[in-house]
Amino acid sequence: MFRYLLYIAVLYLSLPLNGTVEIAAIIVFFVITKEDARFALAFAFVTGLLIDLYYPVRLGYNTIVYISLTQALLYLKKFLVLNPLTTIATFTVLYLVKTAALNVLVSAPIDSVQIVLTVLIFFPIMFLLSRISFGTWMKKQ
Amino acid sequence: MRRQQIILFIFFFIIAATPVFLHENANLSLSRDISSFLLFPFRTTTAFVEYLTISNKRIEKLETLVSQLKLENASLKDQLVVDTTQFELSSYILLKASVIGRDPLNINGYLHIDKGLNDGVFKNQTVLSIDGFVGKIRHVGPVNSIVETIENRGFTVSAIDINTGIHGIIKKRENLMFLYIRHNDTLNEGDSIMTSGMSEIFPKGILIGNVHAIAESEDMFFKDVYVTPATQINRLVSVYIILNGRALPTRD
Repeated sequence: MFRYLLYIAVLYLSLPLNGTVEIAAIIVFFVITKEDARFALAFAFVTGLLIDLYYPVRLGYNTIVYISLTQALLYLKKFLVLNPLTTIATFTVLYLVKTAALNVLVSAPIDSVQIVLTVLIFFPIMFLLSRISFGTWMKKQ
Repeated sequence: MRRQQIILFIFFFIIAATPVFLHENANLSLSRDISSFLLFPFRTTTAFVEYLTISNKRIEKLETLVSQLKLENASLKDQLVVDTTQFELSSYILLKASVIGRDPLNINGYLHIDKGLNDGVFKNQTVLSIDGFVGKIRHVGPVNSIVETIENRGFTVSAIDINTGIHGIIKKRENLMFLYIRHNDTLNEGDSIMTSGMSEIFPKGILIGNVHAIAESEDMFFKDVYVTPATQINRLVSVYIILNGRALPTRD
């Protein structure tokens, strides 16, 4: 329960920064890989909804993209061996798909600096969340 | 488990997709309603930050206003001194005279001016400059005169502290002193000292100088008050003589 509240708190705190670095996407990825599938879906829904509301273009698109990709990753998770390399590769691919999908759906601009920063900050955020949630820097699968 | 997950996904997907198919206005309205609830922490924080920013701006504006008022106040205080001097002078006839010489033994004590008896100058007439009090006519010749200045040792004039209304005597000793100020009288450094008018010679309201130091003396009754003269005697090139003052027309 504490972890769930922590994710929501971090999500809220990171929301204003989401225009520069998409920490929300990293948190969603972390939740998908570490937590229960049903919570991951609900959390992705809330994240998408909050982004839709905080950076309003048209309500619903971010939410659809987030839950669709979450469901896709939940499906793929069974076939992946999550080591650091595959983790960042999976995140990068899903993040790029998300960016491309939103670009197609709502003409959201593709900001290369934002993409690079998000990928760069991926591991520090993952480690930090793992440390706070599970007490270790990296939880073994 | 797997089935539940699929149902949950479909459920969320339908909820997320519904607003997309709504009319733009309905979508906007729904967005506004949900955000008022879900983004409440941000609204509160933003409102608080806005409040702080506005408060800071107001404080800055008020500080600017206070500075302006301080400046204005200082300017008005200066003006008050000038006005008081000018008010007193407005009813007097002034004669301008040039300083043509000084006493080499007492260079600031006596001034030689180029106006004399022929110009209506008499002994004991008050002499002043644009900065304030200078002294009085000591000797009168037909075409020139000698002015005894406030810098001459022993020179006295009755005076008043304009800020506190305390009366005393200005006297030149080693320094210019404001005498007969009791230990319990409250004077402040910077106070303006003017002629009090309690004299047969000097009219009231002429600026003499400002208090620059107050010291407790060994005297049982009075303290030492040091005054900086308003007029710098050693820089004077011209002075004004009050022709219709209190001094009676007498020959030297």
